[in-house]
Amino acid sequence: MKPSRKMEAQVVVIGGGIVGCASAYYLARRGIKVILLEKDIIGGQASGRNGGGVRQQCRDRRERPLAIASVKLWEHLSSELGVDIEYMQGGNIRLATNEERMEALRREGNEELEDGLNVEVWDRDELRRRAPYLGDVFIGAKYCATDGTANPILATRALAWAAQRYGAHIYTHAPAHTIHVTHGRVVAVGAQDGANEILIETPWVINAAGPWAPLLSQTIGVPVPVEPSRSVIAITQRHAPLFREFISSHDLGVYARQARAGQVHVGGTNIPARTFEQDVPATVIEHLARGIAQMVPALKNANFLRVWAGTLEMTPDKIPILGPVDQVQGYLLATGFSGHGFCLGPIAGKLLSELIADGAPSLSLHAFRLARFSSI
Amino acid sequence: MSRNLTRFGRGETLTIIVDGTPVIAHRGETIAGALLATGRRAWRYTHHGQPRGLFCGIGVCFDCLVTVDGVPNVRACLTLVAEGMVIHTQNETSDERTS
Amino acid sequence: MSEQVEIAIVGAGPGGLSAALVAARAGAHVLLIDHYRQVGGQYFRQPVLPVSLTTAQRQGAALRQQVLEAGVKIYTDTVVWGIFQDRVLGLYSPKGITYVQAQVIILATGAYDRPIAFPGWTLPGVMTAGAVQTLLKEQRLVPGQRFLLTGTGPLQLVLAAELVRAGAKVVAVLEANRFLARVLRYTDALWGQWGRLGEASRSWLTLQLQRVPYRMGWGIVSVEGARQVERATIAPLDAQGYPIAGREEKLECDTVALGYGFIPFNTLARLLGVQHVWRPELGGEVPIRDAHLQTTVSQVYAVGDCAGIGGARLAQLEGQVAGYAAAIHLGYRPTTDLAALNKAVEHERRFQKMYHALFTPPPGVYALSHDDTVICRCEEITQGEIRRAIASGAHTTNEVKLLTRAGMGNCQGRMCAHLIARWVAHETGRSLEQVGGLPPRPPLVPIPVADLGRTL
Repeated sequence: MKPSRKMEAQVVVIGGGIVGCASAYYLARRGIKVILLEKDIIGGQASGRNGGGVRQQCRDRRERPLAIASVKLWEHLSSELGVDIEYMQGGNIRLATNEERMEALRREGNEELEDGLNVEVWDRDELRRRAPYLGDVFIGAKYCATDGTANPILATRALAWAAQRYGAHIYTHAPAHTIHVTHGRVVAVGAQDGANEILIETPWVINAAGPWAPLLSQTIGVPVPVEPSRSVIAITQRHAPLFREFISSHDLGVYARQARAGQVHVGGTNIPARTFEQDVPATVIEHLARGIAQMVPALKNANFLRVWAGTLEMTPDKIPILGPVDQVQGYLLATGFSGHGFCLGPIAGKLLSELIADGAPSLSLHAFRLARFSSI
Repeated sequence: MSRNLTRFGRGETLTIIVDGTPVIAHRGETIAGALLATGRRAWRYTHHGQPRGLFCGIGVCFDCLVTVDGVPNVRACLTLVAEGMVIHTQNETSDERTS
Repeated sequence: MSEQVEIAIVGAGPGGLSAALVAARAGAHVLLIDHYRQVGGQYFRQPVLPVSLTTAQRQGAALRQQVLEAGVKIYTDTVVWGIFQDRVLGLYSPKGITYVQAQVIILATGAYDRPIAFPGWTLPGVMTAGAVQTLLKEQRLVPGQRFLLTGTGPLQLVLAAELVRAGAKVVAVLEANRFLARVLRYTDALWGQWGRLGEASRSWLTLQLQRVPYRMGWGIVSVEGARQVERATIAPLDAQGYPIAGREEKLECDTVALGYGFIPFNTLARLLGVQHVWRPELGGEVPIRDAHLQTTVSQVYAVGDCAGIGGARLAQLEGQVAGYAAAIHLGYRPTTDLAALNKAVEHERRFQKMYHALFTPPPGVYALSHDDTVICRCEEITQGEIRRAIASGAHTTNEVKLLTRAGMGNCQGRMCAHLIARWVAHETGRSLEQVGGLPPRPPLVPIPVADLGRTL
């Protein structure tokens, strides 16, 4: 049995997606010794593959305050991290093709205004005026001006680089395989680093391993109710600038945004496939093509250049599991973002760092506790 | 100026329109061939404003792109000329959007 | 709703045509698919007007005729853009998007010219030797006036001779490898290759008569010009292929043809999940195959240059082997003399081995670019940006892509991935195997949204 290389840390973060890297960053910035373990590469999964939307509107009410707080962080992240992560507030348009959807958007809009999020409801004429590139199939929309987009891979990496500058140690291709618990308290994490074994003594573990979170968590008797879900995105060839907003239609089942380089990203909103597999079926590709052609008619002549899949992790109520657990002390969960975690990455990391460094997060995590799933 | 191997003969002539100007081409030529035959080496500008023409000649490199009858990003090296085809060279020079 | 076939062969060059012929004659229901408007691949490329055909072109026309007579269904102008569960191929043609389900797939997707980066390589007028060859063969067009050929291998000799016969001025042919001293070791590999030797000798004579300088152990250093090629800087190379400083010369030219061998076209194979290994002496990543040329994915075969650069003759022989094996798998009884066929394959493999021993581009050829040289032509990412990404922690080709956008453009890394991989290996000390390539994703060529959305 090969002896483990021994290390010490104040916090071990498992998972190098945006939540894990943000956690490492905010912790390291507070002078806390962090080691981050990533089983493959930083931002290699959902965090690097998603549509890049940084969105406050159209969320579960419980998430709303976190999203609003997170956008305040996004606004100065580029300058803070010293990397242009292509963040811009181009706005977010949630579209309706029928009156039922419009009604739902109006109700949601009223609630959002109450909660301090500035949104506008547009009728058909206003929609034509504000977003003339959209297809005729839409009868109206809800718009949030302070929503925007960023470059997923750059944002995730920039957080990791900044964390390292503040003293965090990041190990890639280093899957964590064991969390050691003694007397109900986290004491160490075991991981594989190439041919070597490493053992990190630590009082805190943040499990930000996305859809892989349950595998590790099970081993210490903390079941995590998330299921993997395949999500697919297609991109077009570079196109002249056409729109700045992140546009989405539940009725058509697609969303889209145009990246700074000009390629249009097209994703699907309701093509469920509870699987870790990342093969893309032809029907999904066709669905995305049909959707974007209807959504932005000017793109009918565009070509799909590439299609890829990523794996989301879905909770039963589609909001994240964030915070401590009853079963084990020092063990924090940060998973279950259910396909809309990119925006929440920075705030999740910050709140967990506050929980560790200050004893309590600056925003309540009560709604996101694991214990809400009382049946487990 | 490129030269055709006239001793082997060419196919029948036809006319294509390149950036508004009629150009004589021959049936069986590709758009790239027809453009090269007029002495033109470059017919596209990249987003950094750099001139490009033919590089790989077999449709793998995507340098030779033109807009044909309104459809952008067509590979000139793979596309045969046709009578009355309207071709526009592509100028993709851009100032990338900033936040 | 997919069309059903027994054998789908992707690529109708020498390998694909041969496989189709053997399998169809044995009774199998064969579909032959090629993205080009006519069959033949690069080697058998037919001219627009069937006048003054070369031997190869006549052979190709004859083989095509036999394939048609054997009842093979041929789809030209049809590209395979994706592969889905149960060997369903996604096709795109003037008919739009269609799907074909095959019991056996034979990949004969060939290869493409290896791009080499150096200052000025993106100037109009720099093109691959294959590009020049294609224009000459098919459209009888000479795409320039003063040609510089740089690269390695006898194909350059042949191309130079063809250019000279067409009336073009060839200012020099630069051969990176000093192979003449070493070729005598391979007399057994050359035995029987009379056609090739004959062609090379005839080309050599043509160049001698026209006084075209053929410089062995020389290579390109850079190309200059305001908006297109105007002149090239060349130099003699050391034993590793690096230009010897202080010995540079300048040549006035308007067209530079790069003839540095070929890269196997393996994107469809890798998308299928076929396991590949890195074999620089065979052109790059090649599939692992058994004795019948079946890959690690059952019922998927690979033949010809896409499985390792070996030329048209080897492709034809391998096509026959795979066609035979596929037919047997389906329960047919092809009449191939397998023992004789395998013997012929062995003979060609000796030639293939010799060819690679003599004509693999030396390391120095990959060190011509500077930090301000564009490496990713599509996204215009420079060597400096790539090296900075490596310094920031990118240890695979894919990570460099994610950080710099290199490989994310229209060609999806076909031009630059092998160059990026070498840089990553060089800067990190990792092997090419560890550094990897770029993961292929559908569609394998850009497909119009309008067409993809029209089905169902």
